[in-house]
Amino acid sequence: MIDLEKRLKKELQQNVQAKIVSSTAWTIPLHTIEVEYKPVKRIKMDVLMKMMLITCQKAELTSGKQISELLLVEQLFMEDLINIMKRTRLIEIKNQILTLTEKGCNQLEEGIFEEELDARSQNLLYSPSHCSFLQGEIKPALDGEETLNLYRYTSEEKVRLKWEDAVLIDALQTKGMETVDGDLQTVVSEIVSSSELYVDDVPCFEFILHNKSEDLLYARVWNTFLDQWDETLENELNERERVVWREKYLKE
Amino acid sequence: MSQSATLVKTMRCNLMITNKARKGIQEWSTDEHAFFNIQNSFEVYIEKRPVNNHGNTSLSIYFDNVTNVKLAEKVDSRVVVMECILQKDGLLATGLHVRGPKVPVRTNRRLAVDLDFVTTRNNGAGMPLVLHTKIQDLPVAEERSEYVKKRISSWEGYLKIQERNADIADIASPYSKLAFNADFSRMTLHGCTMNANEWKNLRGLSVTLKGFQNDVGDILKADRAKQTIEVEIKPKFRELARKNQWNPKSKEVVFSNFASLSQIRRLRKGFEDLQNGLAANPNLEKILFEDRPTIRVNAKRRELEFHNQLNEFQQEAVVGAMSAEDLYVIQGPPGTGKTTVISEICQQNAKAGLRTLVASQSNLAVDNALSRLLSNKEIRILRFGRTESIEEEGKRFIEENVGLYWKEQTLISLKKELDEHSLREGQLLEQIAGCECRIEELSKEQILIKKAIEQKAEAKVEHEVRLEEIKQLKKQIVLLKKDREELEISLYDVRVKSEALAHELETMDRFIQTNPTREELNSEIDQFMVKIKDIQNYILYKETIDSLQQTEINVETYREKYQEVLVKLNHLEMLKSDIDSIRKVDQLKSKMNEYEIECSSQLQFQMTELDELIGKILAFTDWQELNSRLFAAIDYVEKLLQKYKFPFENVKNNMGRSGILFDSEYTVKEIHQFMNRMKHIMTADDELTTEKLAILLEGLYVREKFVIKQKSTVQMAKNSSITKFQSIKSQVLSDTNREMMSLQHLKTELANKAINEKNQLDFLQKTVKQLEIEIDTTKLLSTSAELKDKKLEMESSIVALKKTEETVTSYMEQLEMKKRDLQKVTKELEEKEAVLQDNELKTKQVNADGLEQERILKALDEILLQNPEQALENTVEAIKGTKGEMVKLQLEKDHLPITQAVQNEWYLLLKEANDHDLDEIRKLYVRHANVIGTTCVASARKEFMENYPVFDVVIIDEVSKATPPELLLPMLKGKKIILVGDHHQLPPLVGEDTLDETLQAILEESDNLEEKDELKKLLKESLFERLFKNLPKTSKTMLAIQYRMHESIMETITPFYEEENYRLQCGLADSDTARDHLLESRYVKRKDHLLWLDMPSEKPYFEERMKDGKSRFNQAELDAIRDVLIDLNDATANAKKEGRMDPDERKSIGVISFYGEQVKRIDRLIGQQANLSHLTFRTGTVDKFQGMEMDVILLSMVRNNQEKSGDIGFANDYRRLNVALSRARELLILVGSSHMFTKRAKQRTSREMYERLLQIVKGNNGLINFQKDGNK
Repeated sequence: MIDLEKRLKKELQQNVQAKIVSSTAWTIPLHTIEVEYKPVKRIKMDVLMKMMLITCQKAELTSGKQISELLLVEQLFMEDLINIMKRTRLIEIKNQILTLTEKGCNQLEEGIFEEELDARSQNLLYSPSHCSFLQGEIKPALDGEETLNLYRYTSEEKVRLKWEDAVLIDALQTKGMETVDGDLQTVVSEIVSSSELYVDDVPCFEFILHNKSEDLLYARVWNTFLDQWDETLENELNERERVVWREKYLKE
Repeated sequence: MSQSATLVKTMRCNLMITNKARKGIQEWSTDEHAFFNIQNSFEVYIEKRPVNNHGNTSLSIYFDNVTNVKLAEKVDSRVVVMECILQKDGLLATGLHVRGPKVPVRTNRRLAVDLDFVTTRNNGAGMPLVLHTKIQDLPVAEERSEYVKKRISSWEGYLKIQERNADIADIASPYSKLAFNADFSRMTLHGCTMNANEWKNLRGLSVTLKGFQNDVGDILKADRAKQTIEVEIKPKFRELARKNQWNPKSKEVVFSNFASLSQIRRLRKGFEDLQNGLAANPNLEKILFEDRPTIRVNAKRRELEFHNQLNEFQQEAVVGAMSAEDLYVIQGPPGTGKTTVISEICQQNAKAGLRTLVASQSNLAVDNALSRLLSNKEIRILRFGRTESIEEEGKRFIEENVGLYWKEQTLISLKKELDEHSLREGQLLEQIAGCECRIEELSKEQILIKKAIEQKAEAKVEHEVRLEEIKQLKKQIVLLKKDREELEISLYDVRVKSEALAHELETMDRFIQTNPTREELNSEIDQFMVKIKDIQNYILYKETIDSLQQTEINVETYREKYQEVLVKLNHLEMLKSDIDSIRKVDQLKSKMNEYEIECSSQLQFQMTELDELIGKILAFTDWQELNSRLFAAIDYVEKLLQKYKFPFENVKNNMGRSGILFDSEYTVKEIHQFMNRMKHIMTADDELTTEKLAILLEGLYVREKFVIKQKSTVQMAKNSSITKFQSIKSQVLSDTNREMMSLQHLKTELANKAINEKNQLDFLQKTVKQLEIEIDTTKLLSTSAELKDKKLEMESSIVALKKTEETVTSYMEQLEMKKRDLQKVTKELEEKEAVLQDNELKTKQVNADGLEQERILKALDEILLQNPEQALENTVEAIKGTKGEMVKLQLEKDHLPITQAVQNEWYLLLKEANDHDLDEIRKLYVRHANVIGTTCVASARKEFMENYPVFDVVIIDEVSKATPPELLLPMLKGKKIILVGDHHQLPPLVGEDTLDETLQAILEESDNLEEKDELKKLLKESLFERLFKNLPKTSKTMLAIQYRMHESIMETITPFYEEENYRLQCGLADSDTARDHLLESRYVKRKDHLLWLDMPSEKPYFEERMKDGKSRFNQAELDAIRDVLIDLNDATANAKKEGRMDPDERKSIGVISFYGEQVKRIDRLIGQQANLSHLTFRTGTVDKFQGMEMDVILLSMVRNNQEKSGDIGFANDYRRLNVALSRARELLILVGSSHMFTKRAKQRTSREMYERLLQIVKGNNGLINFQKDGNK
């Protein structure tokens, strides 16, 4: 930990203008959430074309305009797609009515076909300090980590441990849980459940710097989980404490 | 690129081929017949070239390399160009070659036609007249391009400004250290080493570090002294920096100007495209360069249905823009809803199936405009540009996001539809019922209309009748008028006649009255006659007496003459008797004298001759004497010579031979002198020789001879004088006789005359005696001349009297007759007047009738104008439509279950759709995008040009902020161009300065006069301003209602718009409510909206200037601003506490200044020195703030000094002040010295401008004197 701090300090001191007026370290909580979800495997098919095939199957329609009104989609799109589908012989006009060909029916069936896969589970990491799921790896503990206090503004956050499915799906997608394999894709279709497993404390190093030439005070926070200077935390500190720093560090 | 030219329908045209052209063709085909037969016809673009040497019109025919499919295949999509000469019977191809595939084919200079080239001989196709005419009308492409080139060169200056630093090579430098700033947005490179020149050129270059593929950012500031360079980092690299993954391999940096060069290249390409006629609107070059651009104006204004709530000006702008053909210009002062107008135009275009480009100079403005477009299925917005420079509002419209955007929009409308499903059936039933009702109403209406049609038919018939009547009446009026005119003329004649008569009568009367009667006149004449006779007698008497006297004189004269004659006769007689006794001429002469007898001329002559002869004889006495002296002398000399034995006889004999010349004539005196001389010689000369004597003797001989000769002459004269005298005497005698005879005659004559006179005398004496008896001679006082005059006078009096008498007589006779005439004429006059009056009455009547008819006709017209037929048709149509609608509704009702099922399914499917599923939709969206937003310069990027060569409409926002070359780029692409801007706001920015300021700086630096001129011209010309001022009313409008500012804030900028047609108005119904800032504090009261915190114009409130630059700051104002901000923060907290504001709400505050350095210090103040958690900030220079708005604006004016020049720098520009004043919605606080700006400023106009501002502030009771304690 000390090595890391030294390294960071050294890096910051590269900037001759900036003087470190204070440095501390603390931790932020990181909640591990286990999410159970159901993935499905399905063929890649354009959603609008699929819907058009379905529509043509279900209703007797004569023109792109009608489909357009039904699906609330631009008529221009409809005309384009109808032309493509006619050209690829997915549909034809029978007695003025747009009708699926055999090929069309097959294609639709394939498109609708979804192979339900077994439910899977994933652990997502949520940081209340960032109000979002973070992507990264929990690293082995640093020496002396246990001595660190919790980030001073953590307690103010109301930890939300209920999320909408969409948010979780988003997080899973970001984590790369949906895959594409040729014409087939695996997508998250449903969140089965989510539960908090445990909380890790992630060490962060806080430096307050003063740029003499421009008379600026600002914070640098290295987030060991993200392995980068954490903008969210820096901004929070800057906003909350800047005036105090001026009093505290520059009045001497 | 351009598609402006519409293709003319296919025409057949004879084509002749020269051998050269044939050669060209044969490279691609066996012969011309085969070549031109590969397609039925060709789409070609004909360019007219300058007339060739032979005076022929030469043409270049470009074959479209896309639409001519088969030809394109043959030549690998390259462009075939055929050189031709225009002939009467067709085209003569003189060459054919194939050029690269990128050669432009369609340009505004070329004529698009579809031609069927006929190559067989004697084909009779000829040259279609239409084509010939069109070609004749075509401009010569090169000339047109030259013209544009010339005009556009006036814009070169703009590029020069940009190029000023652009043409430098890449600069490389090592660096020792690299440090980031607080938020990783900037980095500073330390220890850079370059040469002085390179340091100078660094500003604005892009920065590439060794080890990075792309440039990491742009140079903000270079400090040579510190060897540091400050770089603004691109967002992508900011992330890297945060992750500490910024590990360049070596410490070397390269600065390049690639970006600005490519920008200039694009701008230049714009120039070329315009030159080459590649603008989408062929009229563009005229619009840009002509003083009074000719703009096609659509007379018909569109009737539009608006999607947004628009005020009258906005509606005017939208309607104008939609109706315009080429160009429409909208001036939008701050807060007047330009964006709403743009949005509405986009929507209208989308509805009309048109594709719109929304361009602006800045990304911010583009995003701003796009984000305000209503989400509507018809509008598909696409934002084009570099993702990193696009603002959050615009990001959802970039290509990779539009699928998602579309999904969201569609889901929203689906959701709405789904929510209505339950109600839908009821609605449909209701609508069907409504339709039935409507049909019923329409049927009723139909009946009424039919009735109206019948009425109309009747009206039509009556209309005809009335028309005919009016026609008749009009004819009558004309006739009456004609009559009247005739009457008036004859009336006039009669009147004149009558007056003349009356006058004549009067004259006669007066004449008769004033003159005596005829009898009186006659007696007067008689008296005159008597008198005349008397006078005549007198005259006769006088004359007779005169003659009498004359005759007496005559008698006397004759008597005297008779006496004289008698005397003369007597004398002559006496001479006759004396003459024989007269012996001497003198005696004769004296006798003649005595008797007073004159000599005749002949006699006179003879007497003179005689006198001469006598003279000669008398002279001879001298000679006699001389002769004797000569004899003596000769004798003496002869003797002397004899003495000396000199033979003097020889001398005598040789006389005249000795050679001595002697005078042949001598006078007496001479000879005497000669002898005297001789005498002297002989006595005085001692050397006298015989020779000398001989000579002398010879002289003597000669002279003697002469004297002897003289003697004989005298003798002769004596003889002739005697004869002469005798002849004279006889002459006298004959003369006397003759004289006597004539005198005898005269004597007799005189005697006769005397007798005659005597008789006359007797007669006269008798007459006188008689007259003396007749008249009283005593009265004879006047002369006869006077008498004659008197007589003449009397005679003329008599003539006058006689004439008067005649006149009187004739007048007496005429008078009666004339009187009768006058009566007649007067009667006639009265009759005519009566007729005229009658005529006038009739005319009046006919006119009244006519008017009445017209009135009826008008009423009928109104009926006829009504279009019940159309109305009937409309109702029929409406009934039909409603029925159709009913059927549709019914169908929908029937389909409802299926529809709802399908929509439900669609909703679920779409909701789950991921990026892959949406891929196709994204492509469709991009293909059909109809509102595309990008910056001006980006609109010329290659990929954009390829995807979107032409737009139906190009809207350019914030036009005044872009330079003409920048504007040209999007303009080139628009068939129609709509410009939105405000020339009362700031002009384009170059870096930190406005274009004007940059130009001014260059002008000061430059020595090149030509360049200076060019730049000065740029300063004067603002494209937008010129267009706005010069365009016809139909092509422009100003938005005059603003919604941003509180009324009193708006007041500060209204003076800037005074010259415009409309006064700037406030559109807020109640400014105080709508723009309530809800704050109550030390500085600000609830009712305050406009404040000026007045700084003293004294130390320590003065400005300071940065050591290394022109920028300035003002510490006192910074302190004041901090005070105000803390005050506002507290006030906001208070407002929250008192429930006026939401707890989470923050007041948006903009702090702006004329000076960049001040802004920098404000930034630090806000970020570092104050905790203002209830406020949210945006700071910037006034220039950067254009287009933005905030609830509260603090303007730090900075300038405050006591320099004599009183310069207020940037603050002089009214446009900058306009921008500064018009950013605030609720509250504007000026911080600065009013004394400095209103009293000390150098320029009068500036002082007045700020004085006006101060008065407005004072009027709002908003002037606060700043004191350190901050009390009001």
